[in-house]
Amino acid sequence: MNEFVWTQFFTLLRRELWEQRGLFVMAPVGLAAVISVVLVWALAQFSPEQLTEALTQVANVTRGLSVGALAPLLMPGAIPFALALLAAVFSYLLSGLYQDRRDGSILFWQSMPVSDLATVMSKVVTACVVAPLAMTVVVLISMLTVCLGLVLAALLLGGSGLQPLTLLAGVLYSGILIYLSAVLALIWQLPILGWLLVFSAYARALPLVWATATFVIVMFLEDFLFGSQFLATWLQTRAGLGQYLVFSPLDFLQGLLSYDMVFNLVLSAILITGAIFLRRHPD
Amino acid sequence: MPKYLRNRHAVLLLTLAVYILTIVVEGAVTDRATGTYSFENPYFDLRLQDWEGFKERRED
Repeated sequence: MNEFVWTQFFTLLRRELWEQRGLFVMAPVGLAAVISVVLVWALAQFSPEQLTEALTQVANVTRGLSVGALAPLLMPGAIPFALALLAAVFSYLLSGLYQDRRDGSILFWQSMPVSDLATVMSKVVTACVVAPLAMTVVVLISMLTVCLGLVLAALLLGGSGLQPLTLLAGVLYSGILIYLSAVLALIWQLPILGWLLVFSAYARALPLVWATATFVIVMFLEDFLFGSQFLATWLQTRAGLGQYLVFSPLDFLQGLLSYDMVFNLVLSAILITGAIFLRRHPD
Repeated sequence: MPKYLRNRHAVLLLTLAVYILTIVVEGAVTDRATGTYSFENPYFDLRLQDWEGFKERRED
């Protein structure tokens, strides 16, 4: 691929992020603000002695831990952000190819020298790579703020034995693990995202209803015609949370290079190809 | 481009057919565990590979 194609693709990614900054940037920032207010309110309910005791407990738990062992303990802080990201990505892909057909701007975009392949892939990459990055930056800033608050509180109240540098390194490393977990989770969910894209490109109205109803019908048809329930089983394998968690970069590589993930990518490629062909022929 | 790929309904049906066939063939080849849900409804027990059994059950 030549340099022009890459420049064009990065421009498409920037456009997507610019158009969806409310969904991918402002939403996690708002969530972080709400969590911060609740956290400060909750901390204000404790006396200084109780806070010192709590800080000492934190110091005792983290003392002697390596950065690699500390980071997973900090990761649950990202769960509300990860759930918000998943909802945002679902909503984004469901309306991604539907909205411009609805308002007629697809004719303008198709008059530009950008292929349908590049347009659809820019949405997939935005959902799986760029959106988790935006979320991770917000999570990291929130965690660093909490970390700074803990260190300041330890300095003011004294005697807790908190190790600021280990805590800081743990937060930074957990940021990397949170990003890798989010990317792995979204790639793991890629056939579901591809399914949403197909109906985003196909439905004349209510793409969510089309996507859900067709999935249920296809699931029943499989049982009816073939006597198997592979689609339902396959969906069930996507439901467990544990398979998305990455506690080291090696976990990420193992998840990415597993057989199930390769098959996952084959299924995703079928659906994304369908979405590209559907976009070529709008209503 | 083949003519049938210019019809969006045909593209959708083709995509879904390829998708479901890939899942079923891969599931059968790798012997993936199945049986997430079950139906007790006698009107919903048609299996193409058990057509004779279906007819017999209908006649009972």
